[in-house]
Amino acid sequence: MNGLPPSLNRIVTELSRFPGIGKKTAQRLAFHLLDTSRESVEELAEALLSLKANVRECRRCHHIAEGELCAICSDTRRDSATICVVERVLDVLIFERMGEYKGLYHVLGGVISPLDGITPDDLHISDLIERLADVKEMIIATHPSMEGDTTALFIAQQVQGLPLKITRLARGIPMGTNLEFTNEATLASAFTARVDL
Amino acid sequence: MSAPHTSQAVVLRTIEYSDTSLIVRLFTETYGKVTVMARGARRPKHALHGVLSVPHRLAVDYRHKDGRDIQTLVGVELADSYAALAGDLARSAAAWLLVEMLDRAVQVADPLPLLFRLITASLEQLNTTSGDFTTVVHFYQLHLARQLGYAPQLEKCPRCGRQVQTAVLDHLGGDLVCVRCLPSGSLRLGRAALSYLRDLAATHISELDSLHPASGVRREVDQFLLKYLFIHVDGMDKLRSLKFWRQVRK
Ligand SMILES: [Zn+2]
Ligand SMILES: [Zn+2]
Repeated sequence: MNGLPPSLNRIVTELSRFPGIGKKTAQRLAFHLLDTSRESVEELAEALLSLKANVRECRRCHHIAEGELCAICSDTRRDSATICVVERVLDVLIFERMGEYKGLYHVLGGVISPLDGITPDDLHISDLIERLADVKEMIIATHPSMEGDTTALFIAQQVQGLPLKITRLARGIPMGTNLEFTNEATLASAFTARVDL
Repeated sequence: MSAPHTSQAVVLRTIEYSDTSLIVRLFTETYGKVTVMARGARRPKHALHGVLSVPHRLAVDYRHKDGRDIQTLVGVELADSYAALAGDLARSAAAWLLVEMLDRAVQVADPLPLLFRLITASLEQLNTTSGDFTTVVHFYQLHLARQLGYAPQLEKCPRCGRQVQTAVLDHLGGDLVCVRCLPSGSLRLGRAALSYLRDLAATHISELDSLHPASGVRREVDQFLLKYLFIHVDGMDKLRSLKFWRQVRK
């Protein structure tokens, strides 16, 4: 092998599982940990365990939460009459960073993708519909792709007849764009220019 | 040696390779099934962005190296996005089904220009017809089977040679035979279903709106064509897009 003790090799193996971390970086991080005080390493280990133990899915919107409800759902200052429907937790973070949206979210957990065998039953659509009783506007912010459009259309058809305004993020975002890579100004204009479905 | 290749192509599948790159499986008119790497295609300002999506028809330019599984995409121009599909759940579901069937049916990089014409004409018809588009799906499935070399016998029974009145699918041999030769057969096609299949075989795709099969006939043929393809084409029984198609079709 590489002459390193098994404990060090083990940590290198674990660290190199992280996205964007290669073997070399993992080794550098492992040596850094070796040089770090025992208290700091314990602090890190405790933080990792606490992450797994305490962070789960929000019971209402499927965003990440510590406890039953996420910070957004439990914030009484937010406008509960507006729901923004997104594909993934990452999308919530992007909209929150933009800072303009004051309503609530609903994380679908993906998008209808027949070639991957993902159908509406695999997404959090039925509990979205249950949430809509007191909602006045639902903004569907799935990504602009055939999968995202199909998901938006499917949801809109499911709630047909409910007294609520359904909008879709405007096409300021080019087809196939990952919201992650869209800059905040583009996204903000897509938000204000959203279109009725 | 690396050589520039140019062709028309349909996007069969895209796979996210990294934060910025995409692996794209194409069915090209000139070279058959080809997998290419599109570097940077996931970047929002990249020229290829959003163009590389199922089931778009493209003009592609790529560098081909013998012995490589993945070639390098150089340029793309969008020829048709079949934009009307996105406004209709059942039509999009059908488009995904057609594309996945082709992806499963074709394994090698052999030029199959007739199949290329079949998929592009079928997507085009799906995109534009105001009529009953399940006939487009049936047309595609029947002609896919024919072009893969598995045309079902719609006139004479391959066992006894007699004209078929009621046909039965022989699940073992995969043939369509007459009911007298296989009285125990469970998947049956009546006179009207056979006549609809003959019409599908003889009608030009642009004339499909003239066919109006009764709903019972449509169901019979629907079952038959899928089962027939399952028997003859490896991997067809694993179609993932079938579930969504069944869920949203009218
Ligand atoms: Zn929540
Ligand atoms: Zn016979």
